[in-house]
Amino acid sequence: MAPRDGAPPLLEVRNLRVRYRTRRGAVHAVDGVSFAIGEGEVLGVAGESGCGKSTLVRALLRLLPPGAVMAADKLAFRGRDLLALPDRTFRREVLWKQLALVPQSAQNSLNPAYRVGDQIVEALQAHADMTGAQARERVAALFDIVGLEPGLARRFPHEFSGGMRQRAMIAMALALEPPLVIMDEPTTGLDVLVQERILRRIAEIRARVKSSILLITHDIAVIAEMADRIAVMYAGRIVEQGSTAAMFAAPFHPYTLGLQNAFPSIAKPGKELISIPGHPPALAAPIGGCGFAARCPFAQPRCGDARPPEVAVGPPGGPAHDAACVRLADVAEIRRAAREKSTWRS
Amino acid sequence: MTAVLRFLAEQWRIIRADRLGMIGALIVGFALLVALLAPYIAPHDPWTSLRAADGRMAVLRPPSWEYLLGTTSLARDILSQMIWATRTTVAIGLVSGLISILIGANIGLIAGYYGGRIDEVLMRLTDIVYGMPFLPFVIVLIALFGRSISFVVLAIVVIVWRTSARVIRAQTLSLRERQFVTAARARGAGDLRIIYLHIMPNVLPLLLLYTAFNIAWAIITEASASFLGFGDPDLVTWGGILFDLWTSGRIRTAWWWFAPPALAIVVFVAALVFISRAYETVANPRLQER
Repeated sequence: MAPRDGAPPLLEVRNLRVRYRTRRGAVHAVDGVSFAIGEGEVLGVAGESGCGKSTLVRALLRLLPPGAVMAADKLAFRGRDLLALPDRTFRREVLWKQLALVPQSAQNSLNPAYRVGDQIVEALQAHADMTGAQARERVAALFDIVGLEPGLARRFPHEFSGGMRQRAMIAMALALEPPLVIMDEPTTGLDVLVQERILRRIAEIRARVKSSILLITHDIAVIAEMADRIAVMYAGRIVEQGSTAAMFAAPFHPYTLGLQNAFPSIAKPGKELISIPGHPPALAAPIGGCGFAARCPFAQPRCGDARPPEVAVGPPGGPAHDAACVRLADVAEIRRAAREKSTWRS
Repeated sequence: MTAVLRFLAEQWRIIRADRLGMIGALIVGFALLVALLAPYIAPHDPWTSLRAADGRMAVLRPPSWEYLLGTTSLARDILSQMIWATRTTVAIGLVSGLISILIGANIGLIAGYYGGRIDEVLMRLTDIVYGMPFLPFVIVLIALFGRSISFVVLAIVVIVWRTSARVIRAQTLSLRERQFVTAARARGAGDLRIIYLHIMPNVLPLLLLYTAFNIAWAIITEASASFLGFGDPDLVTWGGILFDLWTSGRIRTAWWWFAPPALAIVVFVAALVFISRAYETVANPRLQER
């Protein structure tokens, strides 16, 4: 599960669980998630809506709503135990300085009452010992990084287009050069051309800033383009994770196979898109066996018995690749069958 | 300093965009000028009984060149009384209006932002204050502590903050769910920073609207209390002048005594409402279409 052999992980998460208490009982939105991100690495987390991606982000940043309970065996950032940090210390020393967020629907994340530059200056002065002039200089440099005219810092958010606001939010997240930037659906809600420009911009930024990125998205294409490694989430768990190349070339989990079928491919134009029937489960009760069993065309009775463990499936000595499925032995047959549309009829 | 100037310039722009708001601002500006210059422009002492040239007391004289607004039954110059009353009334209005918006805004912001039990307690407190009838409350307060300006202000403040608290709470409730609040929290902003630096600027138009409202209400309330004789006897206010007129029994004959304070109250309160209307177009942009 180590991201790269030898390198100590930047962020290490082991068995993270988040439970929402509701009137109809607890909802296990994140149910035992473990992963690690190395220095300078981009980890993409993919999965359908409702499989716990956003809850995972909120848990990492302590932005969970009051009814949520979080627990983990380990949550360490560069070896520092985040679970033991009091809220105040976490807020002042970790958030934004170490761990910055480009929020979901970042277009609406600017305060309409302030000029865009002033918002970044306000946050800079709150976190770092900077004079107004230094902070404004920093804003100009940041705007340059994300490809915005420095003069735009004096504009209000409503004078920005969606893509510009998105870039301003990325600039704000990069302001203190945090080691880890979490991007929650960074391109959702933008038109395809703007998406492409933002992605190219993020790639350029990666060359200039050494931050790691945790990229959360339901868009496999975005992940394919950006991520070094991919983790696929389903029903609050990671069902498969591995290097991007391995995950695309030889996926093991039926859910990963299903996700790939559902997205168009440039390599194979004309490929028929196949969707996975059904919806992610409601997670009101903890799932005993595999979360995907109910929708999985390859499910067997034993899938419901116990939660399948994450098993290393990569070639020995190669990059780590884990999958949690009881039928890993039958993977060749499953891969072949997964290409047929008739397999995925419910 | 530049931020303050920029802020004031912005307020001026908002008010000037609305013609009635502009008229309101001129009236309020004039009243403030009179209030500031009262000692220099009042022709007589407001409490001195004046003697006419022939040596007789100038009792109940209608307006003339000598007494521009006439005199009272105690031979006091009404113009001088009006000028001094402007000073006290505007001061009482500003002080109690501003204190009440301070209380109302903070209670609204805190109740709306934190929600839950804090909201519950603060809003039930607001409900209780809503249940307090103003005049009986003032009468009891004055009966207990005596007729003094501080208790008049206190009574006004206790009653007037409630509406602004409710309205600002409602606005805060919707603002705290907005994305930019989450984004600020993800940047490590604490509760106070979020409330006062991120949410409050967004309720500012509403806040200024209710500041104007509260000052207007404070002035009406003060006038009612003074007219009923619960004002400070050592100060002359618009309501106090009307009270003197009422007790003199000349209210049906001495029109020159009645008209100035009555008009002053109506015009000044209307001016404040005009200004608040200008802010309402900012708080509620749909009004601009008319």
